[in-house]
This record gives sequence, C-alpha cells and structure tokens, in this order.
Amino acid sequence: MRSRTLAIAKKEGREILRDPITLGIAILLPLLMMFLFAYAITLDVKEIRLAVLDLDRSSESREYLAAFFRSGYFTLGAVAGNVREVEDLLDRGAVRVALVIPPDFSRRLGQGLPAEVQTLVDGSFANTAIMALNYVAAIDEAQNARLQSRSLSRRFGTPQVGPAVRAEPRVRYNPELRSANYIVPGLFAVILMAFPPMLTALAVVREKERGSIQQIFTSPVRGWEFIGGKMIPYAGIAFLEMVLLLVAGVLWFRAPVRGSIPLLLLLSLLYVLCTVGIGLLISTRTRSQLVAILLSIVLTLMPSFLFSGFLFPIATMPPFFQGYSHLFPARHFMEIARGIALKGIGLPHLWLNALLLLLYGSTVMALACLRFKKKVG
Amino acid sequence: MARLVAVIRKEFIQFLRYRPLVILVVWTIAVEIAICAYAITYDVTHLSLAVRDLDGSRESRELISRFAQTEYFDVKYPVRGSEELEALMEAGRADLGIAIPPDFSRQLGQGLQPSVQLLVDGSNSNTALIALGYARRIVQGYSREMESARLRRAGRDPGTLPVVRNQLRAWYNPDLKSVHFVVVSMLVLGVMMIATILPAAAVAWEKEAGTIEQLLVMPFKPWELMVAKVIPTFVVSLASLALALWVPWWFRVPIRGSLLLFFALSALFLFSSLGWGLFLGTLAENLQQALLLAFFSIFPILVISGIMVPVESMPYPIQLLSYLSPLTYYLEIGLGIFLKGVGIGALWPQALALGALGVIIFTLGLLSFRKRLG
Repeated sequence: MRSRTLAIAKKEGREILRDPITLGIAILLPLLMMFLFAYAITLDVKEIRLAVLDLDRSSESREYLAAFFRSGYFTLGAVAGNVREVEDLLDRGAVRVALVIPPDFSRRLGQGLPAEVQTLVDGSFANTAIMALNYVAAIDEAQNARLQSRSLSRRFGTPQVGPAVRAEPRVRYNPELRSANYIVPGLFAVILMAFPPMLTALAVVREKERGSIQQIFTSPVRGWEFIGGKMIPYAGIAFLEMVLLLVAGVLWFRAPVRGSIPLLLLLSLLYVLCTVGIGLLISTRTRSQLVAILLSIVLTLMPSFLFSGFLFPIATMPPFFQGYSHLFPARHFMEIARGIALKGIGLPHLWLNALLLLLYGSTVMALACLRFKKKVG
Repeated sequence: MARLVAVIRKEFIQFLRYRPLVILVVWTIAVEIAICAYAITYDVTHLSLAVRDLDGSRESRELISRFAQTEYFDVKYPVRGSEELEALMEAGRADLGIAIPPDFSRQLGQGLQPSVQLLVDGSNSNTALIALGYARRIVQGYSREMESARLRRAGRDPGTLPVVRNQLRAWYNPDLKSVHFVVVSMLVLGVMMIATILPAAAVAWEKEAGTIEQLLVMPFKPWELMVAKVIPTFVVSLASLALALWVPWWFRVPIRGSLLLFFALSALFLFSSLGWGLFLGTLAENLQQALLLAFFSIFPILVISGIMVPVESMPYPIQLLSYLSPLTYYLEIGLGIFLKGVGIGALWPQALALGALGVIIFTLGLLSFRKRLG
C-alpha cells in the first residue's frame, strides 16, 4: 500500500541524513563539478604562446607581426634566432605556434611579389591548433586587405574600400560564445545521470549486503512498494541537485534560461525517473556494493560525459557509437536543457525528447519492479 | 628478504583473486580507453548547412559550392524564408545557416560589397567557433577572387599587388585529427586510474576484512608492509600500461619517440598516483568508500590537467592548480614522446616536476599509511 512505500521512503531518508558520504556525493560533488567545469572549460582559445623568427627585421615585418599581438589571441612566447630554436621551442611545448618571416619579406613586398611566410603550429593539441590556424588566417586576410588597398591608392589614387564580399557572422543563442552558457545547462544532464543512479543502486545493494533485506522479504511489503520507497528519496535528492545547479548556474555563473523554468523542472522530473530507474535496475542485478559502483560507473557515469553531447558532439562520432548513445537518456535531456536554456524553445520543439524520456523512464522502472524478486539469494 | 617476497606474493594472489578489481583493470585497458578514443572527437566536420539563397545567381551558387566542396560542411537545406532558417536552427537540424541577399550578384557587379550573413548555432560554443572560422575563411577566399577579377576587368594586374602568403603547417599531426591527442590522453588517464584505485583498494580491503591486525602482529617492519603493498600495484600498473598500448596501435597513433623513455617516465609518474591511492585507502573505511574516493578525486584532476582544454586557456587560479597535478606533466610527456618524438632533452622539466610531486605525494601516502598502522 501507499503507506508502506512512504514508510520505506522515510526510513531511507533518515539513513541518508546520517551518512556523510552519500550526502557529500549528493550535494557537494555536483556543485564542485559545476564550479570546476564552468571555470576551467573555456573553449575560446586565447593568449596562445607564439614564437617569432623574424629574419627580415624590416618595418614591414614588424608591422605584420604586430597585427598578431594586437588581435589578443596571441602572446609573445619567445623570439627565436634561427630555425633550430623554433623547432626546439615547439618540441618543448614552450610555444604552440611559431611564425617564420624569411629575409626577403620586405624586398618581395616592395617588388609586388608574393612574400612567403610560414606558420608552424603544434598539432598535438588538434583543437587548439585548428582555432589558432583560423585566427592566423583571419589576421592574414585583414593584413593583405590593408596592404593592397594602400598599394592601390598609392598607384592609382583609388583606395579600394574593402573586400568584395563581406561576411557578417551572427551567433545565435549565445552571441558572446560564453562557454558557461552552454556548460551549465549541459551539466544538468550530466550530473543527474552521473550520481543519482549510483546512490540509488548502493541504497538497495547495501541492504542486500547487510542482510537487512531479509526483513523486507519476510514483511508484507510488495516488491514494487519497496522499489517505490527506495525511489522517492533518491528522486528527491536528484531533483534537489537539479534545483541547486539551476540556482548556482543562474545566480553565480549568470547562465541564461530563456525558456520556461517550470517546464525545465517538470521535464527534469521525467529525467530523474529515468536515472533513478537505471540505478534501481542495476541494484536488482547485483549483490555487492563494489560491483554496483563499478556497474554504475560503466553504465551511467562514463556515458553521461561521453555520450550525452556535453562536450563531444554526437554527430561526429562513428555510427556505431551514435547508435550506442541512444541507449542512454542523457542525450535527450541534454537537448531539452540546452534548448530551453539557450534557445528558449518549448514543448512544440521538444515533445519528442520528452516522450522518449517518459518511455525510457517507465520502461526501466517497470523492469526494476519485475526484476526485484522477494527471495533469498 | 624471504619474508618480503612472501608477503609480496600474498599481495599478488590477493589481487588476482579479487575478481571485480581484476575486471575493472582489464576493462579499463581493454575497453574504456578505446571507447573514449572513438567517442571523444573535437573534429568539426560535416556540419549541416542551411542555405537561404535569395539571389539564385551564378555568383551565389558559386559561393555555396565553395562550402559544399569542403569536408566541413554538408549543404543540406535550401530554405526560402528567414522563419524557416530560424526553425531549422531551433530544432538543432542546421549547425550553420548562410543567407545571401536578393541583390547579391548585382551589388557584386557594381562593387558595392554585398554582405553574406553567417548564422551559427552558439549552443555548442566549441563547434560554433570552429565552424565560424571555416565559414569566414571560405567567404574571404571567394571575396579575394572576386576582387582580383574586378581588378583584371579594370585593366589592372592583380598579380602585382603586395600579398603575404602564409604557408600554414601543423607539426606532429599534419591532418589535425584529434584522435591522436585523445588516445594519448586517455592512455595516461587510464594509467592514473589503475595506479590510484589499486593501492587504495589494497589498503582498504585489509581494513574491511580485519586482516590488517593480523599483518601487524606478524614479524614485519612497517616499511616492509608498505613495500609489499606498493610493489604489486606498481607492477600491475606498468603491465597494464604495456597491454594498453594496443589502443595507440589500433588507432595508428605514431610512437615517434623512445618507448623505453616513456616507460621510465611512467614509472616516475606512478609514484604520485600510488602515493595518492595509499592516502585515499587509509582515509576510507571500506572498499566502497575507497573506490568512490578514488574515482571522484580523479575527476577534478582530469578537468584541470589539460585533457579537456589546454592549460593555458584556463583562468589563472586554475592554471596554478594544474601545475600541482602530476597528470599535467605526464600528459605533456605522453604527447611529447608519442606525437613529437622528443626525448629527455626536451622533457626534463616535466620529468623533474613529476619527480618532485612524486616524492611529496608518495611521502604523504606513506606517512598516513604508517600513522594508521601505528
């Protein structure tokens, strides 16, 4: 009956309050993660250490180099005297990018010949390297435009006013490209799947290990009542985590929530049903806490980071892993959380994700209830 | 000496008997590193591009075909209205939108500098930044050709205009594929996980089983006990690393430097991880707590050590933390030896830092272990 479920929930709640480790994992760890991720992960690459090897030492070469440091993307890491030094700087990781200006740079420019320079980038950090090369290309483009319009105006008196076609970039949903804006809603999806399943699984398996589950077996409590009683406090914790993260994200990190907050919270309840349900399902298959921890790490913690689209876009994964990512509810809640927070969209766009979460949640809960057998062993 | 050998043997047997832990180690080196290498990619390719071409001229089609020719963009949706473009972006079906105004070719012909709008979905900043960079380069390249064409039409030779040609070259990884980086970083992370969890578990399970008292009444000196705990985990960790080398082989990651040096420096790195594991093991009451502590302490270390974003782009206070993490140096060593092919001549600062941190953390672990024993 319902009162039995509530009684179990109450007992479980008391046990949680007495256990500092569970409380720590439930409350402190999510906040710690949010602070670490939101502060440490800044994806726009700034202040890349640049080495220069200027073999020309002319006013032209100095002007060319100055544009790089003016851009704000690069800082002067070292001035190299020869190519060996450049190699050494890159090898040691002292700089990420090196610019080599040949001795005939200004002479060739003056003769109207293409002046060749070389940019060497440390490709071992591929992501940084790509961004650095994009910055370099943009700076070169602007430099060339300036050089040419100057030359045209000198020769023909008709300054060229600018490029033939202008690119007008508009970044939607996150115009400043602040990483906190998309890390924070992403963490809702990650953290709710990383910790609550493990806590829930441990709660059931602990009773198995201690043998106190025998008391449940001999009592008139039915399987689903027991499962329900275990679910309620942990679903409560998970929901509390969500609220905490939301408050910390909005107030401390100033991450926007453009859509409806009640809708976000409502759908997070569906998600909580899924994640706590996974924990319960794990608990029905294991008898030792250690195995429960390991299984949760493999089945929820790792996938919540890798296969949720949090930092690594699912669309670029090999097809097999794209399919694999569908086994976890995180990717759907990720779309919901980012959609509501950043794009301000609502159910008309997100109903399919919500429906899938509902299906997923009720399936794992039903399986957990079916699998939970009131018998010894 | 015979005593020591006997107790080391006991530790090995204990480890091999403890199935969940053996499975964890095997799973880490056999599956996890590979899964991560497949799943984690920073490469931005095949972004879906929505095109709103209101001009429909030869020029506008030419510009769009420039996008289609790259591997970065797949031209997917031709749209008419701006609401349509908006809807595609909201639904997350288009990563980038390009809008060409109706009088694009006419303005271009008259030298009026038409604007092409590039709309990018900023809800994933990393992809957005890179996509925008590529898109701008494509438009600029097109623009440059149009300028040259215009100059030629005006009877001026664009070849005589000054131009700086920058030859961009990526060293160590010419194709700029992130998989090399990911494989090396997951390899070093896997080593750290194993080397932290094993000693933590080895200490905690004696406590849990109550056998630590038995060890104490045996004729061992404390240091012998510590050595006995450390040597098997040390050996298992190095052996795991050797076995995990199948992943770089599978992903064709080059090993340009000396593998011997890598193992030597890995051994140096292991001191800090083992020390940390011993420390956590003495903190924990039982095996579960030891595992939870080990896992959740690895997470922050992973975030600050340059695996997710390079250390130099982090805010300054976090950079300071990064320099306290042995993993930061071990990652640089791994990248240096695998991808750059450098030797100890370039890596000695990292090796020195690893050594210093290793001594400090290992001493911390030993001290707390001794205190618990005493």
